[in-house]
Amino acid sequence: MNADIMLKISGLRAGINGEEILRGIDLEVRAGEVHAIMGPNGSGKSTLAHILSGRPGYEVMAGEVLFQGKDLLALEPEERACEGIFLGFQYPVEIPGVNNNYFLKAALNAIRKYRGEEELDAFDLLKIMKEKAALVELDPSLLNRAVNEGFSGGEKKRNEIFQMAVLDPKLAILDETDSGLDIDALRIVAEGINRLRRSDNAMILITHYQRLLDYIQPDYVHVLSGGRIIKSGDSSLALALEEQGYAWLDTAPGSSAKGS
Amino acid sequence: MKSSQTVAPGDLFGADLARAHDELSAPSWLTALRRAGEARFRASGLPTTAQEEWRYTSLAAIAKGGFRWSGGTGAGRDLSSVAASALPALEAGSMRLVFVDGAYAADLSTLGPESGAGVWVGSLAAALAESPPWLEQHLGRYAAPDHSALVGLNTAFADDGALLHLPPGTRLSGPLHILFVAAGACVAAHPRVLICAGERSAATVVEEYRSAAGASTHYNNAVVEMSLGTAAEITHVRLVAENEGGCHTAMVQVRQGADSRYNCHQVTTGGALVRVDTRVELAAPGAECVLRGLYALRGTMHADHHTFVDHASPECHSDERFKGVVDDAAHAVFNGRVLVRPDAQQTVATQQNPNVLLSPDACVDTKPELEIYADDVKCEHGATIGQMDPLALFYLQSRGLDQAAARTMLIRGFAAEIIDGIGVPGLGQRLHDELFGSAPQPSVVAASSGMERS
Ligand SMILES: Nc1ncnc2c1ncn2[C@@H]1O[C@H](COP(=O)(O)OP(=O)(O)OP(=O)(O)O)[C@@H](O)[C@H]1O
Ligand SMILES: [Mg+2]
Repeated sequence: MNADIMLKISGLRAGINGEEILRGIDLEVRAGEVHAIMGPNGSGKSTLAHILSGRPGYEVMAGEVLFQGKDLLALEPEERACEGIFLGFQYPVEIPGVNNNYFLKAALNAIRKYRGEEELDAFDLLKIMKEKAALVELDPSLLNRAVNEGFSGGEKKRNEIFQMAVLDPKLAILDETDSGLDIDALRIVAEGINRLRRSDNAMILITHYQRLLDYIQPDYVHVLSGGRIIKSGDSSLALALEEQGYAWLDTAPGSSAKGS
Repeated sequence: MKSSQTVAPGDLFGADLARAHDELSAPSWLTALRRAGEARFRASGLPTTAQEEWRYTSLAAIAKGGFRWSGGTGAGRDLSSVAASALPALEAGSMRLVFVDGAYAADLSTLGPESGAGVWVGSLAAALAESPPWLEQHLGRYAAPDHSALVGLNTAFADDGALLHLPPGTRLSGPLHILFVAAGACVAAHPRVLICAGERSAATVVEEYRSAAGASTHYNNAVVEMSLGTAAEITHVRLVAENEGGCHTAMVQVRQGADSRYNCHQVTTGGALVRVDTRVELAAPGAECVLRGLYALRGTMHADHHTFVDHASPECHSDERFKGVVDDAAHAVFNGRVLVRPDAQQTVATQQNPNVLLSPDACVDTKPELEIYADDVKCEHGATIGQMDPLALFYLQSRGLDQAAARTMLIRGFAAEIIDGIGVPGLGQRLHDELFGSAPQPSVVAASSGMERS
């Protein structure tokens, strides 16, 4: 096996309630790479992201996913997080009564503990929170609110990137992090993401728009349609899609189904 | 009858009632009150599930428990099992009245400088010795002996308890902690609390029920009566944390004067069988009550909270929110009745009862009852029963928290709204610690709603 490959998805077929949504996905992501996944509404992009991060309720019908050589699909969601997977949710979840700051500190220490690292004390945690909040220009008052509760759409997305910055994952899967952001916020979030890019981590950006890719140049662009990757290319593919839409591609049946 | 299964109404506690006749001395007005209470109890015995109000809550455990009254306040108590240092406390310097198996324990109590300066704080037994004029006027007036069988039973043994009398314009500088400790074996105690808040007076009272280490089964049958004068403000925290063998019934009866404010926070976390009735009478215009509750039940606990808010006057507000977290095979009952009488125009009343079930065997029966006879009113209510939100759980796990930690965090978040809202320094943290272990969580800035998703 190629040691450079961080994530290897082979022949993944998966769905929900017996209905197949992903119809055979193959994808390899190496350290240092940024992959963009585009595709029509309802094509299975979020489903793929959720399956990779372990959301319960999906059935895997065939195929396998290796993450750093480990069978990813056999791990609990928290084990995947501890191994270095991070999902930036398309729709971040509101959690009443749970302090944002407290939650994230607990998560960070849980991950450190899993990795055999020493848990951080209150002082170091505070330092990291402050530093990362500044990186994504997150309003510090959001730290003492309940997780995502009453956050504006843009604040929720920024909070996702803030969490990513704090947890420092190996593979970040960002599901439409750019939607709902105003022009300034998009730039700030994109710059934040760029600053988190390193040769030893990787990202999968799920997006509908070229504008995010103006800031973050992807190494590969994939088009997911009808549960299959129907085309892959370099960053010029995204530009072509922007101009011509998906119609010029040979889209699979069902790919025009509208998502929410 | 030889059967241990049935106790004829007249027999239950009969020997103790007879003993009370012999052993309790009192001014004649109190003796009359006790006799009236005894008659009320003997007339019907314990309530049964045949009564609509008691449909979901059987008191068989009390009928069959063999609980015995441990005698009047003069009977003496073995306090050896009760270590002062092990008792829960509020902030240093707080006034604390401690009762062990119903009788005032002066050695375990701390009285502040307030007592004597017009404000009267202390035990009923001490008040009876002094016999201030307000005592006869108020005791047994709001929760009258014939109010119900259980109030009758409590009154029949009325001998000790906690008293707070606030003359007009006075306020307690800090919270008053009233702690009822169960220490003996199979003891029945009848705690009584009387709070008379004069015009513009204010106080915070924390009424708490605990079992001493090693205490076995016991029964507390409490009565709390309270009157709030014009523009008085009382914050009443009521913590029921009996041990696994503890049975607890209580009647909280509050009468509110004009523009008064009653803030009630009830937290029920322990006891085999708990039934709390809270009845608030908004008796004059402009009165406002805020009722907050949390019941966190596990094992085979059964807790039943009945509330009755009586809008008897115009322009009164009531705002009620009881939250439930029910685990294992526990059973929670909530019944919230709101009555808006015909001339109670411009009433604003809200009532909410969100519940979270944590196990397939856990059970909640919830019932709002709104009776509205006025037309210019704003009333809303809602009760929900849900499971823990799987998406919220996944969100937390996807950040690295294991399932147990994520669950605890969600439950804690759900309960935080009530616990953090209590506002007595240090108490919220103590309750968090007791319920969820010692990791502290700063409270969130925005008030939260519910954990369940509909
Ligand atoms: N829990 C579910 N139950 C039934 N169908 C589902 C469920 N989750 C997803 N689907 C279906 O699977 C398909 C793929 O959904 P998914 O959310 O992955 O699309 P997407 O590519 O992320 O779309 P969008 O661009 O709108 O976010 C859709 O047709 C959707 O309705
Ligand atoms: Mg999606």
